[in-house]
Amino acid sequence: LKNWPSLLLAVLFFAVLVKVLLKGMANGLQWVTNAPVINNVIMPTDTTTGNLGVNLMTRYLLPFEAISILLMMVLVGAAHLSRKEGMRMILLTHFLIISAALFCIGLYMVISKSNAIQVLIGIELILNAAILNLVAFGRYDKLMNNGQTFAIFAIVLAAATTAVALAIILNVYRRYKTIEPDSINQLKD
Amino acid sequence: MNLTLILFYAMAFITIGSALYVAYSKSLMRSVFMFFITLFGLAGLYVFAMADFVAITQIVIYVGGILVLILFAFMLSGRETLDRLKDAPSLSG
Repeated sequence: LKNWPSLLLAVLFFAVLVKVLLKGMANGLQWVTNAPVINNVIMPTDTTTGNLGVNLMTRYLLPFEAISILLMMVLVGAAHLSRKEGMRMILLTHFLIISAALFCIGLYMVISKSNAIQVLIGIELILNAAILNLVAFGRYDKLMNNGQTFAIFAIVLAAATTAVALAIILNVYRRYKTIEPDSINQLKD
Repeated sequence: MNLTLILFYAMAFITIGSALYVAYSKSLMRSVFMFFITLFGLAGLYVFAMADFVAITQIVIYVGGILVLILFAFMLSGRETLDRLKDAPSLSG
């Protein structure tokens, strides 16, 4: 008997209640003793359903309506809460759209900018778009975690790429005094 | 409207908006610093894609490594890099 304290408490409380009820003498209350005199006791031949219906529609109409509205609100709220719980996942399409926007911005920077560092930032944006794609799809691969693993690989590769690219840019700047990719054409001839 | 969705859309707006500013800005300095914000927004998006470790890695390596590297190279290369953005003369060639 593991939970004997709660059992003891319940038994004690039951004893107290029985004591109070026996002391109170509910049978001796005045309106209870008066009821048979004025014919106010429910008899086995009465139709309780009809009485309840009349009572609910006449005397207790306002509480009845209030409680029905409360029930409706609670039901709608519960449905809403449970629906939200299911909608917690953000759709994959949103991630893909953001990734596509980042990719296009990076592509624009790579094509149009005349500064090598800005071109490099554009490349970083493109890489980030790819990593976002990997991560967003990786949410649906809990067992293998391929997406997130390759995202980490891609981040480290991007770091290595950037270091080398910056070293190249610095050397080019030291040699040509410019970092505009279009004007570095000594290798051409 | 879910709080998660609101945060997600705010993150997406910050990311794409700052990326657009990176592409739009003429000043390389502002461009680099807005790229900072883009990377942080992307880290937030990774969190929403249930990839918290990748988000931390993004902040540590990208923001702490790559961006500081870019800023370092950019600062070391001197003022002429900034000025060259404005008039962009082609010295050689």
